[in-house]
Amino acid sequence: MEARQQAKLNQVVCTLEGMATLLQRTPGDFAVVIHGDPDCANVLMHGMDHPGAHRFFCTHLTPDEAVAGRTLPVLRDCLDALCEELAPEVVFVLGTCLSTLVGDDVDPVIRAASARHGVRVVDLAGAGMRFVSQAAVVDRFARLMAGAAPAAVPAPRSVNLVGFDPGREVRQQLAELGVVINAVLDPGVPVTEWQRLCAARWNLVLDRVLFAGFLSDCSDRGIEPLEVAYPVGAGSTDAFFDRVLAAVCPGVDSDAVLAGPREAAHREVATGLESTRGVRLGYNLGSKKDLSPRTLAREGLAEVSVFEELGFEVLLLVQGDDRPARVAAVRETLTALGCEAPLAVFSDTVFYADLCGDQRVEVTYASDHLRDLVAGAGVGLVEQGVLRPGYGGVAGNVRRILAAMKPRGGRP
Amino acid sequence: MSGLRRFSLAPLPHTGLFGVFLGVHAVGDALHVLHTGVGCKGKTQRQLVDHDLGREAHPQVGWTELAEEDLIRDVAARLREAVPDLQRRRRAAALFVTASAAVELTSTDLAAETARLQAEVGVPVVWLPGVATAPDLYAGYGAVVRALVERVDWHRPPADREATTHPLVSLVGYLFHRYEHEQTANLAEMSRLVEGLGARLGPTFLAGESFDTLQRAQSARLVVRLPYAGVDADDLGVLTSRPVCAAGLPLGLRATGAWLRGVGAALGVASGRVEALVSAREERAAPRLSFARRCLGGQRLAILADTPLAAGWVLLAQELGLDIPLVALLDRSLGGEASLRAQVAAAGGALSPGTRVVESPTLLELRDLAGAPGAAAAFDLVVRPDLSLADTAWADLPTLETGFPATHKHFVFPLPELGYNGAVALAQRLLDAVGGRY
Repeated sequence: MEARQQAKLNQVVCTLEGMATLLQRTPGDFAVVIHGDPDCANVLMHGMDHPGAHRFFCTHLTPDEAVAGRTLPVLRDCLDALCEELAPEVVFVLGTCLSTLVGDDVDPVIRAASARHGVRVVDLAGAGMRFVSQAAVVDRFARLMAGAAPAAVPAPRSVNLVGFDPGREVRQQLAELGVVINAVLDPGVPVTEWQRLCAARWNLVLDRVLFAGFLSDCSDRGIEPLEVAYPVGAGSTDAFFDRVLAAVCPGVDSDAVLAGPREAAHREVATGLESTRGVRLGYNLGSKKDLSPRTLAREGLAEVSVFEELGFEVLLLVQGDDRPARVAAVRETLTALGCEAPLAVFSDTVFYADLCGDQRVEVTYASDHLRDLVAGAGVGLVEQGVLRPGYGGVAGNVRRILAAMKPRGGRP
Repeated sequence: MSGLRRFSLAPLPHTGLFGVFLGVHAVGDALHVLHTGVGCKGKTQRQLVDHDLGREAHPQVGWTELAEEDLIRDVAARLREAVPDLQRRRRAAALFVTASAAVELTSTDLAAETARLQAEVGVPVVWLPGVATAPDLYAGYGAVVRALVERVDWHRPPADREATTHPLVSLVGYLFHRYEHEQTANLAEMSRLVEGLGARLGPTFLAGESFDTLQRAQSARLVVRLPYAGVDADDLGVLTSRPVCAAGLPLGLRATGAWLRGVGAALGVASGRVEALVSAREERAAPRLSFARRCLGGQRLAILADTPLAAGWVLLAQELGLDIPLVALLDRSLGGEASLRAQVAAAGGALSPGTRVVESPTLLELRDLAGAPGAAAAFDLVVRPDLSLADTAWADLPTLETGFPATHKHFVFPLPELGYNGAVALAQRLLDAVGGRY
């Protein structure tokens, strides 16, 4: 884990930004208080596609209150008003740079408010000017959600899908094979879904390290971790089913359910190979900040197999510090994850297009905010996150990749 | 007032920090430097990414990523390291430095630091203090506009030939919030209005032009102050040494007519010529609005917008025969209800007695204003930006999305909102919203 941290392959966030983002995505009967200046409320996203902002409140601290040491009474007033007027089941309190700077000890205020109103108030300590990895935030969030899950008797062959949703097709195939999906625990699902946690026997994850704390907590409650490949592309979907079935339903004959789709997917790959074999593809790591476990799993490598099985000559294009010590840590980390593809590092997104040119990249799998840059360089872009899971997703994925190669006039 | 109101978020809770970013983004080659902790990155580019599909925002922001130890040791040290490094990579024409509220609380002399950095990097490095505690995004945007106006060499008089034959007019305070084609169309409409008065449109603060292009505003004979200038007309006159015409947004027929009359008078154009121009343009647009009025007349429109935009919408809605039961003003720095009434009056209109004006509602209040989901609707349609109104009655209303942010409405066709063509185009959009067919 230490080498992975040094490699810094996912962008850092502050605890406020990370936890606020994940809590905003999560439906549930809770409110969040941001204890800081008004600007800190702007880590939230707004608009119809980002529901949940109305459950957030802010102490709106002024510089005068900070200088005069009057910040904690404001928090107390906020908690009182919130508990009296809305009375949510839980109130989470997030600190900020400002509350850290003035050294606010929020614990006594929180405990007193909780006692006064009978509402659970939780201090999500750790905010302020401290970097944390997105992975650490995701793990912490999962532990927070899991903490409130009641004990339950797990059903036989029952699994939680933690941090990823393999899509309707895969879920249906799992069900037909006798695997009971107890809960899909991806950030964004309601709190009520997290409360089903303990009714499963296994937690399926794409990356045990990503959820180290959560899985440890769950193991204490009798839920076993099971690391699986992300079922995207033909080969990784094979690996996913092989691993799940071996652990959960040993001996089950899967051919009746999977043989047809599997063969069709492998045929699509074979056809795609005719156009993609040997094409140089830049696989971007470290540019996306979406707090998505699927993006973060295996330091971003969860989908690289899609391009490897299509015969691309994969080059990893890694954003961040380009000094030798960090580059060495990146290499070590990627090798430990089983990836020996060559890599190149760029320190700033504005250099991405030049790097693609220097490395003779024809098409790139990259974060969508790099689209303008790579388009200017005549490099095709497959947007990270668009690949569909399951055998049924393979044909569409191949079409999408081939379409991205067309603007360059490359092999169609 | 509810005790919770003080702690509730606003529908547009952005402070000046985001406003500065929006302003910097509206200068083609400027860079916003955030002297903040790592979390503040999300307060800028991420807020714009779904709104502006015309241009990626991330190349125009850089950050120092202050850590706790930086605050303890030397708050400015990371700035001294980061600015030359960022400039080496980004090669900006000007850098605008802002800090978070926590950083400013340390009282470090960042003005002196940025002055030293300017000498080092050789391009303007502009320190904008206090933006993270400024009331809203418009305050931050205005701070950028003002800083840019201050950097023009206004002491040189306009060249004689330009000043007399086809005088140059510079607009100060246009809210250019994205590189999409309704913005192009708006600027083209305003250029057409100015040209109708025998003048030329010069650099606009702001319109996506480069830092160097903005310096050419020095050639302007007249400065037109628009509502998002961040500086009042008197101060703008002092800053520019030019006559200043304070104008509202030319949105709707009456507002556009008032705009032409105001600018025309400031340019010394004979009133008869201006009136002829207004009549000719109105003659083309008015029948089309009458047509739209047949479908829209009597419908109840809610307007959720910043004050200047709301004023324009009130005027246009009245011209279309719409009832306006509600105007919710989403800004906190543009004058509120008094300013709304003044801007409507300046174009010869008045709010009807049945119009309720709500200043700076909280998000919770705004969510309730449309009534309970599933209940009888209080309005027939709404004009608003994209706000956090999911799971409310607002979500079920026919909607014309406009302003910032507008993440569901994007323009590949140059469809204006301003000027005479803009009035007709907005009438079309209202018809589309009501009809529900596109």
